[in-house]
Amino acid sequence: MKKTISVLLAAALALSFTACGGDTSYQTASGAGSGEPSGGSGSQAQSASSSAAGYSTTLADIQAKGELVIGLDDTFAPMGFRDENNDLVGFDIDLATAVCEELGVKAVFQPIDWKAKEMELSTGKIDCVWNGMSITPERQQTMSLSDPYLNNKIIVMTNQGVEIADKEDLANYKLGTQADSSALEVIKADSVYDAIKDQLTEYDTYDQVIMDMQAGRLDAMIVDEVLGQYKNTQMDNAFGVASFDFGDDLYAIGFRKGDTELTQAVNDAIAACIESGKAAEVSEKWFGADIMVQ
Amino acid sequence: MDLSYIAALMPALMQGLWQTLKIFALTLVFSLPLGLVFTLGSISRVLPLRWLARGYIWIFRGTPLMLQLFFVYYGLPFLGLTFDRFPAAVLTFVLNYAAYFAEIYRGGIQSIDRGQHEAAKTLGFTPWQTMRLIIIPQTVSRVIPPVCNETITLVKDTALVTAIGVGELLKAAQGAVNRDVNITAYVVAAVIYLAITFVMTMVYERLEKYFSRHQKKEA
Amino acid sequence: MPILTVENVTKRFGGFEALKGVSLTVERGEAVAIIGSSGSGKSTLLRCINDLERVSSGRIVIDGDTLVETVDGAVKYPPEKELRRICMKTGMVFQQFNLFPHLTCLENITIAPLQILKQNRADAIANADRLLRLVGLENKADSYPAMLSGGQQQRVAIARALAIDPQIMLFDEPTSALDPELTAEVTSVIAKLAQQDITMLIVTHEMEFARTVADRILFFEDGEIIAGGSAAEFFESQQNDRIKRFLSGFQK
Repeated sequence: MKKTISVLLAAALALSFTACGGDTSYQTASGAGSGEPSGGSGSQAQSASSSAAGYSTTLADIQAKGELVIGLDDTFAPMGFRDENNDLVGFDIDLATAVCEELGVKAVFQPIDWKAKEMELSTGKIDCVWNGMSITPERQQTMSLSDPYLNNKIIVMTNQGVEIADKEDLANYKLGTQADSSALEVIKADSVYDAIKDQLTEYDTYDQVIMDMQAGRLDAMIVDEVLGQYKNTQMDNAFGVASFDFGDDLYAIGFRKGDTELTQAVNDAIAACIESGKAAEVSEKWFGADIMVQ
Repeated sequence: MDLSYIAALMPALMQGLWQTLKIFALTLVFSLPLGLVFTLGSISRVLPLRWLARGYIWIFRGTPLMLQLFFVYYGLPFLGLTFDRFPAAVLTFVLNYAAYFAEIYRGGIQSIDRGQHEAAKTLGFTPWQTMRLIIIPQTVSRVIPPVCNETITLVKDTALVTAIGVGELLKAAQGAVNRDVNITAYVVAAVIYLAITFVMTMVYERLEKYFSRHQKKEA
Repeated sequence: MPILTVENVTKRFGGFEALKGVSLTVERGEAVAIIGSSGSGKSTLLRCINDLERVSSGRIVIDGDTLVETVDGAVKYPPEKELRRICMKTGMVFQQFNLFPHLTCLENITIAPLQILKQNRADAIANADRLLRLVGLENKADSYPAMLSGGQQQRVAIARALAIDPQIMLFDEPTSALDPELTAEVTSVIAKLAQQDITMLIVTHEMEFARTVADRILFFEDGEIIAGGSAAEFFESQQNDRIKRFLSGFQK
């Protein structure tokens, strides 16, 4: 029976690859390989790892294989997303490319499901998560986080005709934010949370929050500034921004827990990019200002 | 809706569609016959074979497809079996859909009148010849409608592969919606899904007509 | 030597005893009709003769081959392959026809000769054409069963059973599922076979049919043969009151 299964698997694999044009190799149980036959852009790759469990990756490992496999949700504008030609673009894409140049390796971007990022890391499918990821206490526990690299804060964006005076005033409006977001975490930690929690709806994505704003069911959304301002620009600044905020929300890169040496190497490479002015250039391109953490 | 915007969406959506169609076609090509293998196992007179097949069907029908995707992609490496994303997605879909098809076939086979088995036996057919020459050919027209139904579910289930980082049509649409803050891409994706299921329905209607031609009363 | 010998056959379904020690013989060329009320075990006997049911005890010999025997109380059947060979010496016609609906009439008749007997195609088709003419359906060769009337389907079923060239034909209430106006076409085909000295064992409720076709009548009641004799004797000079009552129930 085991043999039968192996045969079936082999057959399925063989056909998958024929159908994909057969221009890629694939990773076997024991050996290393690369090439993701499914990708639209050809920029993704499978991480090459020596064993199935207990991954640890050093700068030397990365340099030996010549690439850093970066996991990202490729539908997260403006950090990493697809342009109209389906090419991967965004602030993090440009910054990671510059940093990898600094490290002397190729940046390989692997689209992942955002909810599965911890699993992708722990099973060695990717080397890091680099995708506008906010620093949270939980992530500090489960990952090795880089130094914060981008200044960001949690803001309140208001619908047309809505004026919100201060945090306490939020309790009088219908509010929305994304579940599992850093914004939600910051609100929950805030003393105003008890007063507004009944007014606050959690959505799967910010896109849904925005759709409900447009439908008039929400008065305001609580969101991080980088994302919120990008969306607002796309909508010809349809929303307003409240004068108060919920404080800093800094972005960092997540590595496998324990890969501190690699984390430090990337920290150094980011510092070098800031030093050379390359980082400022990328920030200007995407945000019209240098908002890198200096 | 703005036609030039829709045109601009197309390259990305078409790439997503191509992924969707590949997963769909590969799944069908392998799971349809594999399902029959499990059907024959599940009605076999050899008990261990029957238990094996029924256990398999139970597991794959009894757990969420999403969980199976995670298991194959993230879990199997711990058992020494590592697949890339796309093969892992196809493999999971094939295994899952084979279980559903197996149950559809089994229902079809068991709906055939006992008299057919008896008539074949009195003519000297072995059980296997009876199955191959008499029962299975009659089952085809009966299982086409439920298989068609399952196939339409498959078209929509392909969207689950994003869970292990494989791109497809819905993901491509989500990307465009996220980038442009405009839900047009969802509408276009819906139209594409509808077009696929429409074509599938037509194909199955033709097949059903062909395989049930002997049921017509008039010559 | 008889074509068929049944000795002391019993058959139990759970606690119910369907056959209570039945014995009979059928000689070559003979047509024997089994009559009796519903549930008396007639059909069960036929189904034991071609292994659709397994006997509980007893012995059945078909054309010199032992289908089943009971040795020291243990029922003994030959291995499956041998069993199939012996059963193919019987041709079965079912109450519900049981034609293969996905095959044309011609294919219904040729499938066993081609697939089981490995006859060559031309011979099988020629023989099927002959059998279709015999049952009067030579123009229905390419029709599917669903396009035929019940009587026509049963005639094709008879041709199909004849196609494996059996030593004895078994008919299990061949007209019971038919509308009254359709029974004649089937009984006349069976009568034609009887005239050609084809050996047959017929379970039927049609007394007129039994009287005209059968050489011999066996009367079944509660799993036993309680009377028998030549057709003429049985119908014309019946002495048994119980049987007389049964027969009078069928008077038109």
